Amino acid sequence: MPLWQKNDERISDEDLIALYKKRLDASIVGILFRRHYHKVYGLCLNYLKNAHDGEDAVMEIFESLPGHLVHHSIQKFEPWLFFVTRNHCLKRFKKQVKNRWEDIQEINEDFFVEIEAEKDHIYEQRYEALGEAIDELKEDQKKCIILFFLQQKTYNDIVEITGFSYNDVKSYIQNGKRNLKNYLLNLNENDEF
Amino acid sequence: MTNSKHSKKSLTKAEMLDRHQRGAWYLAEETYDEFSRKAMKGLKYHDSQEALPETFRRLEQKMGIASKPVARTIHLKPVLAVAASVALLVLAGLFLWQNNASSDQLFANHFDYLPSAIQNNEGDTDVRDAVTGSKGTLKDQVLSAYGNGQYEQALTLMEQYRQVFPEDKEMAFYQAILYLGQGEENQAVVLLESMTDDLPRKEYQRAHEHYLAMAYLKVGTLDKAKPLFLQLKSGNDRYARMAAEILKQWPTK
Repeated sequence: MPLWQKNDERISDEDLIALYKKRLDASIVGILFRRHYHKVYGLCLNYLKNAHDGEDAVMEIFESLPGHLVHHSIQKFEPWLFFVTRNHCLKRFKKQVKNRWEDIQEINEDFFVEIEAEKDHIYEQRYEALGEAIDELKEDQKKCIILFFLQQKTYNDIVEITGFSYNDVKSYIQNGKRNLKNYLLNLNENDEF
Repeated sequence: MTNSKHSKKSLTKAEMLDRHQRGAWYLAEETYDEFSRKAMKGLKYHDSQEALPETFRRLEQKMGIASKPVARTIHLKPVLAVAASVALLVLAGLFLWQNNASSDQLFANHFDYLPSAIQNNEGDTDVRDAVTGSKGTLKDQVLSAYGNGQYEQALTLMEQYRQVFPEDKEMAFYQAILYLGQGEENQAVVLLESMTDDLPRKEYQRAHEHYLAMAYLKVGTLDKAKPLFLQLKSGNDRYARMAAEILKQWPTK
């Protein structure tokens, strides 16, 4: 057994990356990811707000790692993995809310209407802010907003999933949108964007 | 991320599990790095139907990164030479059984147990004592073994349970998955086919299609498996992704 496998806990992430570049041994990527995947999973949940999507995202990130490790010069693995995970999730978040784009613009036109023309880091910040705004909603509103925006469910689907009445679902989504708007307006007023 | 952030503490898996169990999702900004804080906060969205350690175990298995004790490797050493010879024979056999092997390989690469979504509120207390004589209802024991990944034991208990409660279709669905995972695919096909038009819950529809397709794949009835995978592929969930991957590697003959 190679020394690095016997004593893998003593080898730094960065040394493992260097070793991987040299040997292209998939088990090295496994050791590296095993150290951090719990945080990757948590971060994916933070952005995608759903266990199934979070788990899929973890798998996708893991599958993309070998290519990244070979083609990028990574100084510090953990902060790098944070950004890779964040960017992956934000892209996925953007894709998932695409069909609800009109509703999102309705929340705050100034905030989202020109988003497509903006630079990448701006839209990332704004999607991140939207995700954080969702976290702040009351539980029932949050549940309905997540199902509506992120999981593309219809009002009737949400009635079936949550057991809420149709009118309650409608009201939670309307009030949720209003609260999201207020949260984002507040961010604007505080010059965070 | 600034350098000062790098020097902050990184959350370990053990800490994360402990905090999640206590519902302590917020970490101090001055102590933990951004990655840890956001990850911990995200766990509020973890599916409560599956315990976090079980999700981690399943993820590790899926990625093939589960920790292996060193002792196991040491035990393997004396048989490596024999294993190499066997591997050569197996390889030769694989050429002879190429079609089945590719189906089997596909199955092995993509089969995973469905996390249990069953809430046990039923009282089978009278039955449990008669059948097992141990604590906890028999259904609890089945679900506990299943949740802990003790699938062989779960199947034995499940068969006992179903003898007493043959009408419990939800448990029957998990029994079929256990059959499939334990190499009794013909039993799985029979059970899964029997519930095609009579699912225990509507939410199981995609899962049912997936496991039936997997069962057909395992028994080699590819003409029945493929339409199901094609149907699954048109969705927008994990089953769709898996179906797409399986179809990409579909056996040529």
